Amino acid sequence: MKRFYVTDIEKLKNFAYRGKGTAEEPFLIDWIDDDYENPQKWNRIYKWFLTIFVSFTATVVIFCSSVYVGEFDSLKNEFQSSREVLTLGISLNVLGFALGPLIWAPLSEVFGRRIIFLITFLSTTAFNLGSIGSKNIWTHVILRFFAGAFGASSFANVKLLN
Amino acid sequence: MTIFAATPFLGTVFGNIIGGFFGSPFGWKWVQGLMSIITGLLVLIGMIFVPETYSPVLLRYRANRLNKSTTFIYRSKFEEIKKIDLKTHLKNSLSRPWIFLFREPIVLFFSLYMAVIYGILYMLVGAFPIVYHEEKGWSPGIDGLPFLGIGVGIVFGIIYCIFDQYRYRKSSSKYPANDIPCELRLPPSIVGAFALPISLFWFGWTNYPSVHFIIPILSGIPFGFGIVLVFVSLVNYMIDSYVIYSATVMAANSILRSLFGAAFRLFILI
Repeated sequence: MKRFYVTDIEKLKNFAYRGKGTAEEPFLIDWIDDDYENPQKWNRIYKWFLTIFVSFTATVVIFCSSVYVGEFDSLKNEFQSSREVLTLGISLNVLGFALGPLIWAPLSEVFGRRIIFLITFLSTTAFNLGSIGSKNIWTHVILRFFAGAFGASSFANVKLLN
Repeated sequence: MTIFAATPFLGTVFGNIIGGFFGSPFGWKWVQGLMSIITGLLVLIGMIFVPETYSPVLLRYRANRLNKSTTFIYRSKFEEIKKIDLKTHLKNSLSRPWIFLFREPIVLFFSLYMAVIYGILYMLVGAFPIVYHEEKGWSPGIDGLPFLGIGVGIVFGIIYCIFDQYRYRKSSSKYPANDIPCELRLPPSIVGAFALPISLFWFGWTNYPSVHFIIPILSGIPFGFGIVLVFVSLVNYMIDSYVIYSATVMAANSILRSLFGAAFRLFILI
């Protein structure tokens, strides 16, 4: 994908890095002066947009967790399930918040925030959509656990914003 | 920046309000549909407008690119000593939060406090339908509106924290930049710690059908206000005091918090 900000590659090659460029002492890459690719030097408004977007993703995951209260009556009518089992739809979702970040945080350290966000949110969307086809309450409740665990990747991102 | 840590609470408020209005006419399948549409839209926006912003990953890609196009060897400064590998990260991420949780009293007690507050929030979420739906007989949808009280409190809390930045800047300027006491982050939590029990007593004493409905709704304001003040200042304190381990500490914190939230919600069944 084409990026908004691109630093000229010739400039990158000519910069005086620490190190010698050999296998034992490689050049150590750091952000160079007026480096357009350095996220901290991007346009202020764009940085604000990114910050708000990331915190909004976490807000949406919490929203999806609690908007479930609207499903209680119709779930009860359709599956004749008890209050305990229905409440599990929230509790297991929140339990996913506890477990998900343990996996997503290290993955996003290694592969980057963007790709992990896209994969996990695509999965959450799939779990949310998939549970529409639930034939019993247990399928629904378990799918909600996974929706929570995958969506929770956004919490790992919010904390690391600082 | 940490003020954004407070916005997810608004997700709880709006989730409960919209859930009621949306769920009763359309049924559970459409509530799930609504969730899918919103998360799907976020994926779309993310794909188009959100690039990678994490420096260690960006610099690693750059090093790889330069390695291919020149004869020199390049490496990201973040991997000067050790290459970043998934196995170590996974191992640390799965074990370190527990070590911090049980061997650092600050992390343990702050996390416990936040977890209890978070658990109470989830209990309130369960208690509101009992008070407004079962006791007062409000119809689904309308019975979610009392959450606006908490919502207003959250907004007040965020505003308070924005203004508190001035106090923080003023009092931290007396210290050298690398030696600012983390405790300067804490004063808002004193206010918050009083607001929370006030709100709970208020709510507990006024939620009978005989009392006008606005009185218990207003009790949500100090709760939302207090939860933001406590969370923002304790999170800031922990980030400041554990610096490079702050991500781990926050992970420990959120594990305990989510476990409490999940369990407390089951105490009140509706």
